[in-house]
Amino acid sequence: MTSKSSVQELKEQLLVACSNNKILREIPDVKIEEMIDTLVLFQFSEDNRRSAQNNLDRIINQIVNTFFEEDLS
Amino acid sequence: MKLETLNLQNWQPFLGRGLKSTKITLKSETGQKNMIVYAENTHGKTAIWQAIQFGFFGKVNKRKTGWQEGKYRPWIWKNTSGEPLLNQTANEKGDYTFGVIMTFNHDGEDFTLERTCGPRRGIIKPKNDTQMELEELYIRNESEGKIVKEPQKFINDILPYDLAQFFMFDGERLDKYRLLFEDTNDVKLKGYIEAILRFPVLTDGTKDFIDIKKKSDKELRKFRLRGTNNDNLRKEVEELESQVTELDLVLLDEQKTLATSQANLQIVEEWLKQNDKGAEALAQQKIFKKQVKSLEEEIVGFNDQMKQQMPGTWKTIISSRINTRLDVLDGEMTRQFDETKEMGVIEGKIKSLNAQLKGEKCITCGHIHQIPEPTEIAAINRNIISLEKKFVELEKSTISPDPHYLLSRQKALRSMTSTNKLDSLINIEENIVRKKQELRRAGSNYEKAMKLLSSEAIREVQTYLSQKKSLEDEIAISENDIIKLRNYISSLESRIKIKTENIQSVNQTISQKKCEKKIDLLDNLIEVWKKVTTDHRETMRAQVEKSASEIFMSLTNKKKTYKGLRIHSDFRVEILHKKKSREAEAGSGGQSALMAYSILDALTTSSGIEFPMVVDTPARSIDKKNLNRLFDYLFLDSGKQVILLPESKELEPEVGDDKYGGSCAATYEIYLMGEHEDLSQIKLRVNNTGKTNGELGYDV
Repeated sequence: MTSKSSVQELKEQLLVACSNNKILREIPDVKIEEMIDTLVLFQFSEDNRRSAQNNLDRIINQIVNTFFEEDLS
Repeated sequence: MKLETLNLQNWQPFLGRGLKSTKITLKSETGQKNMIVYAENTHGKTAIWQAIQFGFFGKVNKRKTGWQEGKYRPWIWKNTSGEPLLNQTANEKGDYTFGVIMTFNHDGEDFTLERTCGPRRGIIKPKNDTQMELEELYIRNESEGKIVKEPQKFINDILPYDLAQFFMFDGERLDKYRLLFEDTNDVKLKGYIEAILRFPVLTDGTKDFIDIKKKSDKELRKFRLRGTNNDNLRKEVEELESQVTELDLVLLDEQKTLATSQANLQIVEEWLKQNDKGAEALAQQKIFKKQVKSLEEEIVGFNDQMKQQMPGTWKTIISSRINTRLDVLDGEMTRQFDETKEMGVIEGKIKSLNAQLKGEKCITCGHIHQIPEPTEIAAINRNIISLEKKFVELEKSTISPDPHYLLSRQKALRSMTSTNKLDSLINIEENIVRKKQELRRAGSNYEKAMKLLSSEAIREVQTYLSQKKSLEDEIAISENDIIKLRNYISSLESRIKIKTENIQSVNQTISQKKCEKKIDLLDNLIEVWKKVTTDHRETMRAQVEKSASEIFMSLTNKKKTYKGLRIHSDFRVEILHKKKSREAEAGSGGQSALMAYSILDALTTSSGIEFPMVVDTPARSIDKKNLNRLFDYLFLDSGKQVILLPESKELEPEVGDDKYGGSCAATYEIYLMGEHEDLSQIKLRVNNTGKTNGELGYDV
């Protein structure tokens, strides 16, 4: 079977959708993939999503910080 | 993940541990990864399947129920009737330790897993499970030489327990999968399918972004409030914020309660499904509930009809009287009208007679009258007097009763008339009574059916049913409370938003700007994640459908009849006919078993999860021709590591070795040990491991 796995398919769809979004297109693909990987990793986590949210929050903060650093430079 | 070796220690019918344990190798130096273990019924095939389940997840179901939650097999028992996991002979000999050691390769690295169970410290001769304990799972990364810190989490990340049922299954229970694919109400299965296709990455991700945004919104409000001098506003918002925080905690508690009730309900429902009497009672209850629901709906419908007609009901009842009165009134008014008309005629006649008397022009034809003779004058005058008398009488009659009064009464009476027929009201009433009778009958039929069960069974079933009912009630209450809480929190949040959104900060700090940017990003992430949720669902449905159809068409012997499978958006599956005129169908036993294999294979492939396909008694309800195609597909085309545990009637060892031995690292056969019917031993048949039989621990 040569069909893509659901994670691969999901990544492609999200990357395309983000690149078509005025705001999100500024985010590097690697950061979007990092968010998806986090969600995949914590899909079956039983800690009421706390770890997933902490990781996502960290990634988003990194993105925001990078934007501001770029603006300053 | 590829399983490489399996080592059974005092495991079920396989006696011995340490050097005397039963060793199975699936690792080949020449690339073969599959394995076949042939055995007759009750020789220990399922014990091997269960050893893999135990190794990875630490539990084995009591009955061959696959992966359902419920009762598990005991670790130790006084005899084999309790189906203990500890080998009975080992137990009798005083060796109470049992377990499984496995080696596997995952993402290019080698691992060793050990799961062992033995007596509790201080217990010399354990008699039951309370005197035994499961040692902590041990996994060592051999490639890195490190112990895995959270071993069970490590396994769950590779293959979560809930999804293992798609990779490890029993051919005898394939029908269950087929039924599940047909039962669109099975929320649990739908959840598993969605999980294997990664939908939660989108749905949970959206919720996560919303939660993070909520926190960022709160942070931004703090920034804004810092920039205002309005102390009252600050106080007010702080108070509202603290209320929201408290309510969020209450909501969390309520959600936990709901999740617990839902989990308990699942266990109770599972018991009822698994238990024959319970299943019977459940089926009865299902029919009864369906009947009651439809009857109640019908009654509500009739009541609505009745309600609509009720305001006019009194009119309907007195309509005959109103109509009689209206008839009388109409008669009066017609009389007055006729009399008024007659008065006009009389008036004309009087005018004409007066003109005759005076020798004037006729008022109708215009000719000049001749002045009448005196005798004629008297007659004309008499005539006029008589007509005038009649006119006066008519004049009195036309205004009695007063025409305006008559008109207003007529109007009032007409407004009281109804188009409703009494018959239709009676019909509705009769329907309601009939439906209520049917409802009572449905209830009493259910009671009767329940009484047919034995008193012992009924007590047990009733306990579960009453648990089910109270759990359903609890769930309904929790759900209702959660909705109310959410609404209240959302109204408080709106108030906070209104109060703070217009505060203009004069000097925005970098942190505030960053916070605003973060919220902007989160808003867009939520939007994109939501949009892709719909697209991904359809893409994956179509992909699984295409893949499953291809597999099904390669397996079925009815290639001229069928053209593939159709998977609906709710994952209901049907077999499609080539002839357009034939409707899609669920398929016969054999075809639907192939359908189940095709879907399971397509789902596991689409999941991207690499895990062996472990199939016990693979061929139930599949005929020989289809079965050969199925084995060809599994061993030669599927690309997965396949561990097959067939009976000889499903796959003769000689035939299996001849056809598929080349794709296997090894094939084995289980025998009973001489006179010991509950002890088994395993013998190596095909060896492609690259090691000698002696090196693998088998007799040369």
